[in-house]
This record gives sequence, C-alpha cells and structure tokens, in this order.
Amino acid sequence: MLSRTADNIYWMARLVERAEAAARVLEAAYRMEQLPGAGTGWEPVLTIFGQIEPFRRKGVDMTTKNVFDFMIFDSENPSSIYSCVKSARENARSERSVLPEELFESLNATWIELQGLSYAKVERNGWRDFFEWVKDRTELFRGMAVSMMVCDDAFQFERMGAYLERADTTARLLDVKYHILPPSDDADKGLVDYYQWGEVLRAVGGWQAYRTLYKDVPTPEKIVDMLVFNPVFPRSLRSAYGEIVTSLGALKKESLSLKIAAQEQAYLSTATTKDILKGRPLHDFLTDFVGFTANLSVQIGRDFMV
Amino acid sequence: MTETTKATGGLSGYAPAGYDETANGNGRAEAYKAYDDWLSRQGIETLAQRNKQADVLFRRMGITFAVYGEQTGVERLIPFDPIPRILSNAEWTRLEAGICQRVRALNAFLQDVYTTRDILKAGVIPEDLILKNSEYTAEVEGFTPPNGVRVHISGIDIVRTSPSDFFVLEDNLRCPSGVSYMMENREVMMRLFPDLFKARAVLPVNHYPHELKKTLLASAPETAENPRAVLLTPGIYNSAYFEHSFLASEMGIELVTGQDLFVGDDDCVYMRTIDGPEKVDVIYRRLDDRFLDPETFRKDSLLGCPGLYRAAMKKNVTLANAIGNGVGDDKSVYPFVPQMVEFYLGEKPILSNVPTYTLAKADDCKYVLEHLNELVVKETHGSGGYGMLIGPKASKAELEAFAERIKANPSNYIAQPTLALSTCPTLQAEGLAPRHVDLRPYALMSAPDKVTVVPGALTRVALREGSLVVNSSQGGGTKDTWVLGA
Repeated sequence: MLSRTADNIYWMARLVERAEAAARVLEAAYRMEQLPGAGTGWEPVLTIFGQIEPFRRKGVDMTTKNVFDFMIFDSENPSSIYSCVKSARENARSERSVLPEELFESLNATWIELQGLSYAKVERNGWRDFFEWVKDRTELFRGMAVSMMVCDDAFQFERMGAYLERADTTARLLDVKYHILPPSDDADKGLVDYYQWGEVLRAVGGWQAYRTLYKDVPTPEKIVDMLVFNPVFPRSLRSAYGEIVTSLGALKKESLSLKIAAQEQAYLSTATTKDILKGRPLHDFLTDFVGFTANLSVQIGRDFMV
Repeated sequence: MTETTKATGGLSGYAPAGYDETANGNGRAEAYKAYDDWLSRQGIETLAQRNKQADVLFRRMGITFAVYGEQTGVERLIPFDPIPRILSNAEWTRLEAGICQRVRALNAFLQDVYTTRDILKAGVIPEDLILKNSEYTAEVEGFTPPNGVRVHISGIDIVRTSPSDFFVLEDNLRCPSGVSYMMENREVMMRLFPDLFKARAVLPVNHYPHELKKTLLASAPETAENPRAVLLTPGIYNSAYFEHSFLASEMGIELVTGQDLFVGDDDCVYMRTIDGPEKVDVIYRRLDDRFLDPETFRKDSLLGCPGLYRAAMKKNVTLANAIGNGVGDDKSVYPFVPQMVEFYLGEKPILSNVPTYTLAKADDCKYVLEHLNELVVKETHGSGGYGMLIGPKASKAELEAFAERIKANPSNYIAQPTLALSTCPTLQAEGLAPRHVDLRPYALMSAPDKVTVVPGALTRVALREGSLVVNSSQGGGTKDTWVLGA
C-alpha cells in the first residue's frame, strides 16, 4: 500500500470523526443554552477544539450565531464541519480506487448536501435536525467502513485515524469541562452540575451508557472513570487506544508507534481514577495525554508515511 | 410500470433536417427499430423523468470533470443524454476492422521513424515533416519497447456523413481520455432503463479494464517475473482524475502520483509503500511526455518522477503509451495515414480520412485562404477543440484574424471541408431534437499484430443546436453507445 494512500485514509477518518465531534459538542452546548442559568457560554466549546484564538481574530462577539457560523460553515476555519467534510471527501476522492465505492459515494453525497446548506436555511429547519443529520452521516460513514472495508492495511489506517481523533476529542472535552466544573460540596451547585455533566455525557453520546454502567446520577468521578478507563464504553481513552494498538499490531511492519501506543494502553488498562486524582490534578494528566497522542500521530507519520 | 396513456409516437414525430442515424433512406435504420418500439410504448415523458435521476446518480458517484480556466477544484458533470447512439453489428464489424488496421499501421510507423526510417527513405512521407516536427522526440531514437508495442491504448475519433460513410477525424495515440464515460454511461443507462437491456441485445463493455490490464502486463519488461502495473496520474485537480481513479480501481492496481515513485541507483522504478519500496514494471501514465521526467524533459515539472526516462530506456520499466507518439497523431502527419496502411500492411485502408489541406504546401495554403469561410482549420498540435476555426460559423472579423495567424505560420495549420456530421435524437426541453455526434472507440494493442476494441465507444454530442464542436471542454455532452449483437 502506498504511503500517500495510508496518509490520505488516516486523515479522511480523522476528519470525519472531527466533524462528528463538532456536531456533538455544539449540540450539547446548544441544548444547555436553552436551560436558564445552566449554560457556560461558548468559550469552553471553542477551547475544546483549540479554536479560541482563531475565533478572537475574527473580531466578532461570541454569540450563538457567530460561533455556529465559525464552527459549522466557515471555510477558513479548518475545524469547521464544512472544512472537515470537504477535506475528508477530498482525501477519499484521492483514494477512491482503494475504498469501497459506496463509502466514497456516501461521503460525496454528504458533501453535496452540506454545500446546499446555509445558516439561514438550517435555522429555519432547526439546529437539532442539522446536528442529527451530521451525526447520522458520519456514523453511517463509520458503519460502512467497518462493515464494507476489507480488513487490510487501508482499514487499519482508517481505524487508527478515527480512534486517534476520538481519543484526542474525549480528552479535550473532559479537560475543559472538568476545569469549569470542579467537584464541590456546595448543595446549590448540585442541580447546575447535574445538567452540566449531563451535557458532557450527551456530547459523547453516553447518557444511556452511563446509566447502564454506573446506575447512578452523574458524578464527576464516575464520569472521569467512564471517559478515561472504561474498557467497554467506545469513546473512552482506553477503548480508543485498544483499537489503535490492534490496528498497529495488524500491520506487517514492526514500528515504534506500536511500542509506544501499547505502553499507553497498558497504563490505561491498569490505572484508576483514584490513582490519577491522588497524584496530580486531572488537568495535568489530560494535558500529558493530549500531547502524547499528538506525538503518536507524528510517529505514525514517520513510521509509515515517509 | 404501466403503459403511458398519452401516445407520443416514439421517433415518428422527430424530423431531422440532414442525415440522421435513426434513418436509412426514407425508412428507419435497422439498429433503431427496437428502441423506437420501446420509446413509442414509454413516451418521451419517461425519458425526461429518468434523465433527472441520471443527474443525481452522476453527481453522487462523483463522475466529474474539471474544466481548465475555471476556478481550481471546480468539478462539473459532463451533460449526459439518455437516448443511446446505436450501431448495428455489421456497422461495428467494419469499424472494428478499420480501427485495428489503422492502429497496427500507426504503431509500425512510430517504430519505423524512431529506428530504420524506411518510410522516409522510400519517400512516402517527406523527411522534414517528421524529423523537424516539434512532436518528434530524438531522445527515443533507436529504442524498441519490450514487446514492440508503442500504441498500447488509442482512441480513434470517427464521424459519419451517411449510412455507409465513416471518416477518421483524428487519431489519439498519447493519453486518450473518456473511456470511463463509455463505462459509466452504460452503468447509468442500465440503472435507469433496465427494461431496455432485458433482451440482451446490447454487447457489454464492462470488461474494458480487464482487457486494459492484460494489455499493460503484456508489455512488461522480460525480466519481470510477476509484473506489477501502476497508473500514474497528475493528481486530483487533473480534468480526467475521475477516470484515472476509476480505471486503477477496476484493474486493481495502484493509482500513483509522481511523488509516490522514485528511480533507484539500479535504474529501476519503485513506489513508496508502508512496507518500504516496491518495484514497478509497467506504468500506465496519464501524463504528457514533457512532464514525465524533469531530468530529461521539462525541468520544472513536479508531476513526473526524475529518472523515469532513464529507467524506460534501459527497459527496466515500460511506459504505456511509449514516449514520442505525438509524431504519429500530429495533424500534419494525419493525411499520410492511409499511405502508412498500404506501406506497412500492404492492405487497402478500410476507413477513410477526411480530405485534408496541408497549409505547409503553398498551393493548399492559397486555396484555404481563399475558401476560409467554407473550411474547418485546426492547429497541427492542437487538441480538445482549442485553437480551431469553423469557417461557416465564424464572423468576418474572426475570419480575418485567423487568416493573419495562418499567414504568420502556415505549417502550424491544416484545413478540412466542413462535414455534414450525422445527427442523433437528443432530449431537449421541447422534446427530441437532432444534434451532431462523433464516435471515439478505444483500441488496445497487446502485440504489434494484436489489437482489441471493446464493442462500444464514447459518443460525444454537440448539445447546442447546429453546433459541430463535441469536446467536453467546449460544452459537449455524451451518450451511451450501443453495439447490437449479431
């Protein structure tokens, strides 16, 4: 398999996952805006996607409209849903000769439909419908990849891209939310916390999973456990690394990427929430994790895409 | 599906002015009889309604085409017409024989001019016309490709003026494009009109990539044990990128760009893979000669791969098509193709040329300048319908301006009479209307005496009323082309 093909497929998957994450986080935050006193504004959302500085450079107020314009439709923002789908589709187009036909066609159809949308049009039809449409289209893409791609090298790079992006997003989301919602014993804050942590769970599509797995109201510690260490929740850091390691291990070449990813996975499989919170603030742990994951991505490039 | 209640009469209400392919004298051409029956039952409304689905299908399938000069990255659909262009088995058999003959002669000619030059020595073609031709590539003098094939893939453009008169308009011996439309048009037609294909009367074209792969592998260097072929594309912004990707995928070979390849110290070509370098034996390159190798040709080209020329000359890799084929399909050489057929094959040409004036000849030039308003004038190295004059359609000012360009450099032009190209019924908003068509079948050569033509072609149609320009870059569309079984 060509190195360029590996690179394109890896980024195709990352960008589709990023578009989905943007839709989920925006949707959850938008919901919160509708609950009096519960919203925390748009700054945390922009922070999660590393877009606070680029947004400020636009010189506009941080209103729902401006943030949606920036994070959904702005072609100059590489993290906007528009840009993610556009680039993912372009990567897929470059590699359509190695992808299942329907996979490209489906992503192409998403791109065509997205081009026909505008702020005014979506507002008329309702934002919830739009976010659901993005989630449907991106999950359809993931599902098609899993159910239609041959389990060859292309598939491994697709999976690595998707899960590396997922690990990164989950860590950032948790970091930002934990920062503005430090656990406290203040009873008055209880209700707000309930909604706020609910938003986090919604943003990772994990409300129902949380109830099933923890049988409790949302508590910060249990949510950290679910998003970081849970071996069966598909958006946890541990699950994501499990998939990354499986994919790296399925490639013929023995790589440094595999070695370091496997070490991280081993750590996530043995440590507990108590362990991290005892030693240092969660923020430090997550900052390290995000940095490590970025380095892993660079190493994957060095190992396979030169 | 129920019968439409509104009788539309199929083709009976369709009244073309000139020669139309649905007609034979005053009657209906044999090839169109079954289709006419079907259309009478369905009605034109069905065509219009299913044609809308075609647009959605093509867009979703991403079958697009980039037009140069427009904003980068803009992709357009080639307009598709849902009424097939139909050829009878007898018509096709003759065309096929003529194409194979012509391609064999052209391959022999290219091999000859780069080696022994018998045809020049015999005085059949003027030596200067070849050796001073800007398409003549001295870098490949003396070179013979591994299996003697230089024209692996060719597209022969043919026009028709009567039930029995077919003319070759030009030969494309470099990187002819459009074959993916031949296949995708069929795919879409079969989806839209499954009932039309039930009788199994239309010969299939879907095996083209299979034949193409066989052709490519047959040309591999003798030293290659399990030869590997790749398709070299200029990249996603190339107008024919869809086709490159489509063919690579259908053949199950890698689609590479210049950056994916490198030439090693052993003068062999390798591609960069996730498992390290892997050797490449045959390159189906969809890249012009001059961009192939910055070491030998254009220094500033980033599209090719340094050293490819060297590797090809040492026969470590085969380039399909071979370097230097431009001198075989140059418009100034075109008038001599019938003589090539006689010279190399000792046969009478089955397909005729369009009578052509070579402006390098003083007599021809004088005649053309005096009759400019009746003729079509083309640049000898032009393609894609750029840089040509259609005399009868040009304004006085355009004619005068073109005359000046001709006088400045006569040998850059040829001229031909304006042919009354056949028309085919085409779906327009107001119903069926006659539009001019041409035909581009694709020939595959796997040995100098073995040419295969898949029974089908790209039919290009000039969608504007009265227009004779069918090029997709100039607003032409396409039709599915049917060859009926015997």
